Amino acid sequence: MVVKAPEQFEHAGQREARLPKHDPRTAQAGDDVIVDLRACSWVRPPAALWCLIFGRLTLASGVPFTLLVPDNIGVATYLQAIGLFDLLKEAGANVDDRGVGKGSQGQIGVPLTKIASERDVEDVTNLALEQLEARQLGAPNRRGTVAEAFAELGMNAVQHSESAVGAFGMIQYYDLGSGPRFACVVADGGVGIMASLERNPALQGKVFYDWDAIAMAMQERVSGTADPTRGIGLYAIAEELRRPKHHLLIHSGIGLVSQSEELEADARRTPLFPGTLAYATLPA
Amino acid sequence: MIELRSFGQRALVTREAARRAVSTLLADQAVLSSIDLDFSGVEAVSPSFVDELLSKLFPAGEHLERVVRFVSPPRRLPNQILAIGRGRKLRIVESPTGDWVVSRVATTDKPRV
Repeated sequence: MVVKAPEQFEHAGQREARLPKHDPRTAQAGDDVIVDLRACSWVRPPAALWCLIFGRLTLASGVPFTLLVPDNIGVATYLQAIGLFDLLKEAGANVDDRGVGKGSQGQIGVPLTKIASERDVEDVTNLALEQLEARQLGAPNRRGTVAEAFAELGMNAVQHSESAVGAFGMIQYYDLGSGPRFACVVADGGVGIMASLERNPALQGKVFYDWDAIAMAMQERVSGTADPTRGIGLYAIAEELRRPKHHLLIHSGIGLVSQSEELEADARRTPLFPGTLAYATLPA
Repeated sequence: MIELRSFGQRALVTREAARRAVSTLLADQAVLSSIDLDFSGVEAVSPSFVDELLSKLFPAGEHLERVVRFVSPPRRLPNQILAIGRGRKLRIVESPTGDWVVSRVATTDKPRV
């Protein structure tokens, strides 16, 4: 199976993405899977996370996985710098990245990093603050805000995802002409938000679609546990980012919710993300 | 005054960190009616950390009268922290100096009719 990525690969839920319907979490051994990024003129962090999670789940199911590196050397170097190629190769993927330099870590607060426990979340968050300060990226109070967002997303992933391949996250600083911003993204290859919420007896039989589950999980005190005091994480993120120039995208299963500066959430059906991805961008 | 920065982290963000903080820094404060936590030098405090911390300092089912003051928190009191207070029946307000002050919602208040 060959999966051809869009030329401008933003995330797996973008409308023009023709990503496979098959779910690598439940797939049996079959044909090799090839993800083709050769024609990509850019690959955003959530798209890189899809490649990583999809690739590692595919490999975990016993199916060989190949990532075809972008022809555009700038894009390839970026993906090398954030650690995508190494994390895939470490899991057994075939990635021919010859001639692609290591790139600069200059604007990458934290490259793609595995998060397997609360301790990892704590360590990576503290490291992020150190790196952002050392590189003078963003205003001090904004560094704290992005660190908190990263930590809450990471906590959700390690506590609720049950991912066979763990969770991964990164923080990046960028400026595409509309002012400096932070991007923070965390993804896992787990059961997804809907299955997680259904563990709560009070919610069983009440959530029918992934997009409804995401929207529900963004509300105060809604969680997969029966503990009425829990359910702070995603609500806190959504609340923090419910302001101008902030953006939150959550993609879980075949549902996607995007909360933008228009202060309204757009919930829709999308191609599958085999697990959950959360992507936040905010002024730096 | 208990300095959270002495705990060695610039980001206090996990529930586990809150449990460690309670067990190592607050062990002797169990019966105090007023606790001041100094967050000077701490750059990030997540809602999950605060939620776990308050669950230990204001255990459900216990009616210990206590005031906990977050001195020099890294930011203005956000809605997320107020939501934690609502869920745990705690009153959280911001003082004129920017501290967060947490106490139990008085149980002697007249019930709403």
